[in-house]
Amino acid sequence: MANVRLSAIKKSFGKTDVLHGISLEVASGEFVSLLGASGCGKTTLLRIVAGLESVTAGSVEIEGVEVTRLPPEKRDIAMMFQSYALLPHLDVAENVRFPLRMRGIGGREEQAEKVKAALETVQLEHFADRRPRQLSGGQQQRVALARAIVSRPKVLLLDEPLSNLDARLREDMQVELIEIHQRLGLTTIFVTHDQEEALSLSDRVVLLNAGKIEQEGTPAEIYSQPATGFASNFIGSANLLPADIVAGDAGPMAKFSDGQTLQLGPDERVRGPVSIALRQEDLSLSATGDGPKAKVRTRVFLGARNRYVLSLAGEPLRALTANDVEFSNGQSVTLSIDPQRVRVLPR
Amino acid sequence: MNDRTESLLLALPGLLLLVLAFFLPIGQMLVLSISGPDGPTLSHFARFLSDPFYLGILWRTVRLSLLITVICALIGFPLAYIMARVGPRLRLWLVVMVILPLMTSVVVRTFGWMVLLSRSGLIPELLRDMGLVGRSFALMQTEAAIVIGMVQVLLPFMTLSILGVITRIDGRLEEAARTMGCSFLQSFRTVVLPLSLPGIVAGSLLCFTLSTSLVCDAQSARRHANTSVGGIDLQIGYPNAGLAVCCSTGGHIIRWHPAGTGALYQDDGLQQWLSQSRHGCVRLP
Repeated sequence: MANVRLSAIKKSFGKTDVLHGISLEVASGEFVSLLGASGCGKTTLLRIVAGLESVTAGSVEIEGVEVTRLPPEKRDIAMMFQSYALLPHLDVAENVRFPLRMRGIGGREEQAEKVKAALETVQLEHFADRRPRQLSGGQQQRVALARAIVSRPKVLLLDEPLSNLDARLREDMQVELIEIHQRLGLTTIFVTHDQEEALSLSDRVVLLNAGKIEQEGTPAEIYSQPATGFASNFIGSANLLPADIVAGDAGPMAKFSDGQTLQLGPDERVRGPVSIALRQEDLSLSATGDGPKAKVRTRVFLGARNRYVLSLAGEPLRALTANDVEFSNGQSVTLSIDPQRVRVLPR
Repeated sequence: MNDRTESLLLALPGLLLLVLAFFLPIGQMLVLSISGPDGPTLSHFARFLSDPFYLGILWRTVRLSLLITVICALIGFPLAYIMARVGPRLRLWLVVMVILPLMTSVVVRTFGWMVLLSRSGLIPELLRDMGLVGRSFALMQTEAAIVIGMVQVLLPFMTLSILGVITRIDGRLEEAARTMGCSFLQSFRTVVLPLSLPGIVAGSLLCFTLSTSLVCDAQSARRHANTSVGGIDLQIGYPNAGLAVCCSTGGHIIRWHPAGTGALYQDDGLQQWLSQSRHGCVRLP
């Protein structure tokens, strides 16, 4: 059963249209990510679900009840903000108790127990009487999480909650979020611009672009079968090269503007002018051999890997290699890639 | 030159001014208040504290100031909240509107209130026409007029003090409160009010101290008898609350004669002090 149902949501701020008719269903207990670049409308969509933003057109349902015109406090939701939005004049325990107090859930003792349990969930039970500003960013963030789950809302809304943490803490929190979601089974909508975060956390990823849904599917689907140029560029930051499809001895081939060709899988059906999407981690480089040649422009040392920026038919092309692969600038290298890993997208 | 002497030098002109223009006269006043013809004495204080007339003035000053402060806070807090939450253009206009009374001359402002409040003025007329009040109803020269005039003048101090604090409150805190089950008014009470308390306290202190000393408009609005310690202070042409208090604690009081002839009643102590300190500006026009 759908827990959250958005039907043809439109939103305009003045003359600017931010959302162009978005329809989305989130099943009970599902973890859905809204993924997109900044300004794509993902946060606006989340705020519409929360009731912090009104819709220009369309409707919002939570558990079968239309809530489009209801204020946030009448919807059984919890939201975690990017800035955490902890109340600075209350201590940690009071912050976590706040939603229980305001919604009138349970007596004083029951509330205290729930607060304790929620703080234990995020391993902050020893910080109950601290003020938010006495805590580190990571700890504040966990308090915000405890506060969001303490009342067991019907829908948990997370607005880029991990973006203010350093890389190490972020990984820890990702694991924690997954575990908490598995344990509590809360319906969760998670907004992020970080594709890795979206792919690793969610049951389903909804890719938004310029106020429209570009593609939705499981993380594996989104990653391996991007439906559009935008999707393949955004997810895994693939290289997009313009090309034409021509017939070759061993099936269809992609012909670049400088005449070089790249072998495609035998059952590739798309014809005409296309974009060839090549993941930078799927490309391998060698000094000799058959295949399209590209020129090395720069090398970026990434520690565990090298990233080469190449030039193929005048287009920039990025490739990730092991860190012991060495080419010099200006050198001509041969590209090879498994034909099955090449995505052909109509242009 | 090290940092310490450098900052000391920078602070010196300000300190010097404070000492000369504030601490010195205040100190003199305090000394005066305990000096009698036969050496140090507390008789001035005894006289002040035992005379119901002076005590009545003191009580009225405190009572009116408290009332004015409370009204300013009740109007200023919602106003400041709205100013903090509207767009920058509208905020600018609201700020201009709020501080406009401060930029208007006392005379113009007072005549404005006379047009509205006097016996044949707009508001009493309106109330009479609606049958809400009797024929003899008047607002001018009442305590209500004092309060109205003072609230107008002091509202900017309250509003701007609170505005400064509210603009620093993250708007997302209110949104977070809403998603946690607060209605708008509840989020106002549980989040905005406690967080803007420093501004309310600062504004209230400002309003209270200013209203104990500043009764220009009040004097024009209520022309008879002494109304407050500040009023007395004004009449001796020395607009400083501290001095006024000292003045009254010292028992040096001029009275505005109830008959309104403009004649000054002075007691001996004051005359002595005035001639000493050469503050000639004694009479009100």
